[in-house]
Amino acid sequence: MPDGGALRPRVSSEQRLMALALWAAALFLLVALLLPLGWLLVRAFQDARGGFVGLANFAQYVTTPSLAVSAWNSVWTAGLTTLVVVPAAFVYAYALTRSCMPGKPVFRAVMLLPVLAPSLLPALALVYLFGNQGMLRGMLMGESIYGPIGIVLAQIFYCFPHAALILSVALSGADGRLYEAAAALKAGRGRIFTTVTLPGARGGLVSAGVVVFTLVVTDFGIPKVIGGQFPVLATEVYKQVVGQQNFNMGAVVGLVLLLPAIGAFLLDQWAQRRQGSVFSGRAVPLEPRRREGVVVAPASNQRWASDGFEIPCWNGEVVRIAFAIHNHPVT
Amino acid sequence: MDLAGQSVPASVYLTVQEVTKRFGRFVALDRVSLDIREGEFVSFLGPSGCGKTTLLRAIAGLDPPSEGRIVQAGRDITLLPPGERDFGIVFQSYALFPNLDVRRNIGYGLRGPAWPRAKAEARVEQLISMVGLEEHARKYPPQLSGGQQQRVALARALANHPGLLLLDEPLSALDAIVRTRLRTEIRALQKALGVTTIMVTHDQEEALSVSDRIVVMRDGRIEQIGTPEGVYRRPASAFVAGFVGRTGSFRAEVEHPPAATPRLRAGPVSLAATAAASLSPGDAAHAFIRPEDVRLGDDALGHEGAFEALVTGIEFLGPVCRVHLLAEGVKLEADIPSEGIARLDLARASRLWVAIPADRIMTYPDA
Repeated sequence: MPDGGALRPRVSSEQRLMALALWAAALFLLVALLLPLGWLLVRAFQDARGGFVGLANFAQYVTTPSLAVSAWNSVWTAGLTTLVVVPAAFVYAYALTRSCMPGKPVFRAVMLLPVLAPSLLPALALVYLFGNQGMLRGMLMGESIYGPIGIVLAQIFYCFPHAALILSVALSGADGRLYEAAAALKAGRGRIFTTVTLPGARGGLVSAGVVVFTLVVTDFGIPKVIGGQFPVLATEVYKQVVGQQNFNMGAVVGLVLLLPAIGAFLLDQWAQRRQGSVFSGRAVPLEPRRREGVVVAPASNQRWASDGFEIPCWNGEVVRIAFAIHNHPVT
Repeated sequence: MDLAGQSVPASVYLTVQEVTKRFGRFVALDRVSLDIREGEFVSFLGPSGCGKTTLLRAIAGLDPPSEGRIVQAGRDITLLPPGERDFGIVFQSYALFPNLDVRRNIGYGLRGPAWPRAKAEARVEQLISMVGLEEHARKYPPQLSGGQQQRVALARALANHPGLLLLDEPLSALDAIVRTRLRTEIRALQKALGVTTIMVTHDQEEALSVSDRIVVMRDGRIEQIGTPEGVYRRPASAFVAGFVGRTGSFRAEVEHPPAATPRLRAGPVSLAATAAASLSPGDAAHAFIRPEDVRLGDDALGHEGAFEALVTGIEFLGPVCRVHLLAEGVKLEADIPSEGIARLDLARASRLWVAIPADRIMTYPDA
């Protein structure tokens, strides 16, 4: 360097653009997430006139039978849906990824199609089929589709593709060498399934379970359409806020609704940490690297530095990403 | 076995007969035949794509051959699934079960009526101390170093007292120091247990150092089977001469002067080469010379047919220096002890006397 000054890279236009985008995203999160959440938190501790009442709203919530019932209803319908959807989606994804059955593209398309539809759709379809004038009404043997039966059935249809998608990704990322090692050690199919396949898909199973449970607990459309008089948390918030204009109780229910989401988030974090041990010595998870420092080209007429990395995809293909950066003049 | 008495010695443990493996239209193995004796350590050596791993996988039953027969201990195993064969295997990338700790990885195959719980546990403890992993028995594979993982894989492969141990490039994922140490350990263990062993490798130094015999392969065929010394000193083909060990090579024309050693002529350089006797005068030949066989300076002057060469470069390799030489268009390499450099007063662009013993020039017809 001619003047012996410190090596300092100039801030490039890309870096400025990135900083701008980051600030915009932060602002958006503040307005769209933190403000409503903060408002919810504040209102949960206030009375209708805005005075601070401490935990009174929560006490009222716990002692109001209808609200406690709605919480319990949300939990058990979500739990039941998860118990049905995750194993079914696992079998489906297993067939898609590990078998040589014919017509796989068709089955994959059928699996993915409902992702594009809103949650209302399965509920409406069930109403057409099993509603009071539905053509298959007799199959319910006198039970009404409006209520928990309808909710759980519709949620199963709604959540299945999400779970199947997650599980087919988890199952296709398997390590063929482990299967060969197990076969060479004379393990039977059942033992290979429990010692290689299931542990390999454990992270996917937890994720799928968490996603399904959260989808069901937070879904409003299905209970609204087919829930009848069956109260769940999502419809209860609506009733409190819009129906009874009780914003404070609505805020409390909203906070209660957050609990399964937070629980699911923590569970997923825990599972991801456990998942770390599923990678073998060779397979190392790709971690984004932060690049710092000055790029100096070996010759002054070289203006680009390039690098690249690979991401193995769930279908076995490898995406190669190469990038080049401008070699900024160093002063 | 009755057959054994007729055709092959009784000590043959594994026979590969005319084995061919095709993947679609690609022929990965082309009528490969070999015998492996009981307790032998055999390496399959060759460049990538030569079929060495395919042959190992055919022996393991992971990719059964398209044609041919594989007989192990008198039993035709050609089409048996891996689980019904008698072998242990170590993969290049270990393939340990990441969700099981060291102890359960090693004991994975110790199941069934032959391995009651107490016996299996005792065996696992024995194996853990055999590979020196007592302190790591409760750890999971990702918590171990590469060398430790490979020791676990080795213990797991040996757990069931297999008659045959298969090693698929077991050391290539490790760094140089661990690799050298582990290959010595594997060889010592193999000798102590007397287990017949096949190792696939593309590292010729590894193959030369541990094997009883080496099978050199190229393009799905066997080029040569021999002891490490035999393969190194008497390569069966130009390919083996060029692949195993370090060689300098040049192309030349064969001359048979009357009542003298046959000669190789490359331009103005003419060298006596006993091996050229197998070729006819006027044939094009491909000659190979090992760097340690080249005599330099005073050593060279005593030899018949010494010639002058130009030093084009000197590489310091630790105990020896490799001198790159050019003599009238013929490129040569010579290894001399590092102290010798000072004695020869060598420098780039200096000239010195070079000689090559006539019996050390490996000569093959030029394809």
